[in-house]
Amino acid sequence: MDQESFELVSGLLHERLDRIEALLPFGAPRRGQRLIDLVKVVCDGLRGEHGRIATAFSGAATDERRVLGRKLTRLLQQSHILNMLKPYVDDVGRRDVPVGVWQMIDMLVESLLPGGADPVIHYDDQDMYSTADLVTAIQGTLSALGVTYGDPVHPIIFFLPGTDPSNALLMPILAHEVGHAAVEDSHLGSATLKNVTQIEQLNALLDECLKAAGDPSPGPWQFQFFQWVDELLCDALATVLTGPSLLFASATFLPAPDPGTLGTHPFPADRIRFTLEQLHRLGWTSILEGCAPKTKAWLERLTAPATGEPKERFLRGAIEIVKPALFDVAEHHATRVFKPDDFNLVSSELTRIIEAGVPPAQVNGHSVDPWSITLAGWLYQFRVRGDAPKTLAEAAADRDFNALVHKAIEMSRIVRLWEES
Amino acid sequence: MVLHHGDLKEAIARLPLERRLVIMPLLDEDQVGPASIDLRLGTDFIELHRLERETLDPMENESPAQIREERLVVPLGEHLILHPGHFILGASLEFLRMPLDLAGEVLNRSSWARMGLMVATAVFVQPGYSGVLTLELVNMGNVPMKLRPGLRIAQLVVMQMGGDTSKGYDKVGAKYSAPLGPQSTRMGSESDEWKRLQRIGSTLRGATGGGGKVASH
Repeated sequence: MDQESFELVSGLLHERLDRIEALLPFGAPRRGQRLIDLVKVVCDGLRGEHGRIATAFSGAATDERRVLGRKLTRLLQQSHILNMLKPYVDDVGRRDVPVGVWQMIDMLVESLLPGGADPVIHYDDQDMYSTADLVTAIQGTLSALGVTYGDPVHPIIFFLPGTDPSNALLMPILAHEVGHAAVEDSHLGSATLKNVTQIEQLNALLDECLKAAGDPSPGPWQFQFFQWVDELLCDALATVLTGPSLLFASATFLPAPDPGTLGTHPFPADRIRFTLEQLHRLGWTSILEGCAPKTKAWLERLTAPATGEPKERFLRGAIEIVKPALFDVAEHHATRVFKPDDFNLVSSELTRIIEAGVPPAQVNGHSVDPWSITLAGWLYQFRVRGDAPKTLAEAAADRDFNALVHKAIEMSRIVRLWEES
Repeated sequence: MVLHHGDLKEAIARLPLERRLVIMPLLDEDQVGPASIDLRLGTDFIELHRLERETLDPMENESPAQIREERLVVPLGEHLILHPGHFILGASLEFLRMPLDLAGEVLNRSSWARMGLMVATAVFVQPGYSGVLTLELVNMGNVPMKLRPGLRIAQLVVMQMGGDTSKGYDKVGAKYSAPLGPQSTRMGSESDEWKRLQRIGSTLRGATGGGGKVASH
């Protein structure tokens, strides 16, 4: 690369860095501040690496300059990572997110992520719930630049449905998504596999199915199996925290009757069955049968038909083998467990308050667990709309009711913080 | 008759729920004072985009999007700065439900008023009302003021009606049906009266030969 070309590419790089840095919000630290810190780390890393290349370039021979020119071009390509971060920078410190949503996310972080997280909320046009740990996502670039993001608390992007970000009855889906960060941070997938007692049975199933498929490489199968384990762990964590609300929210959001495909997630019907089994383990069956017996029976009848394909046979068989270990790990990891007995203490009063059109934030002067409020909301909907699967869709679509439940969650958190202060 | 401390406590604890004065949440029992209940500032606000408005005609019945209102959320622990002359709508932290035999009035707290903050100019709480209370916040002082959600900002005086009203506010068209945050004006919904006023205006203009003014003597 000649001097003029080097200066041109350097100019482009600096222009990009200047433009991004000019967009960073300034002033007092705010929610999501760690994302700003991460962007600064990336910018500093790019500037530092450019400085090293420029110094070497100035005294280099032609051959070396060719190598350094390639390094500089690669650096310019690496700077594109800033374009990936930029949309989320605009979300830092946003003031249009309902307080109840922040509070729900804070509670999920407290319950599932011992190391903490700095949430950034991004409204997603595709109306999906998901999370992304940006430090992990760009770790490769950080390493290549020779810089580290030293803060143990990472900025985590929470993608919420853009058209309905504060749907209270579907919030348990968010618990599943926060579960992904917990599974990754605490290596819960490995912990699950270590706890599997029938490991020989698992290996035998893999061998048998591989043989039936003509002995393909086991790597992709194992990778897909780990993906399924992660997804089911997230379901299990969310079930521990939110109880039957996860069942109703999943059945609505997936939706449960979707036959699904042999992809990164287990079949919806299998996930629903797992959740039902875990709820039974946790003692929720009598409440489900008392309040929504027909919906429960309908969910139990859903099945994902087996195609007989060896890979499918392996994956579905394997998750059955790891199921007990998976439930154990999830139940052990969550710092808070939502128990039927706790719900029974407040459920009647919650229903009475909801019936009066009041957000049920306090019962007998005390704060109420947000997941008790959510579950009382679901069960109230079954009572007034009828115990039928279509109630799932109607309840999730009832914006006024969801706003009431959401307000109650916001208030109950304020009451709890007040009690603890 | 204004309810005193004991009456207020009794109204808050009444059974069944339909007869109860609901204050949700009541963070501290001592919010119930000798003759009023302290209300706290909530977390939701509405501000009008002033730079894009020439004028505001409440009878135009514009939607919030048309009049460029912005909803702001300020979580507990954070603050909002209200500059001198600045007007925003806030809401009580508490959700209220007034039984049919009681009515209420929201008053400024003197400690805020002495700093120049006007909190409530038109908040009469009708029997049967349900929802948070919209507060009209104006900084009448000369220096910017920090507003922190959760602070006690107003007081609710509760009055005993002569009897249960058969026409509770929740039954009268439900104009502000169970609001959960501050509500902007709904004056445009009184459009029948506006049409009558327009007709009267036309009649008068016809009588005076136009010009829009009634001749004075």
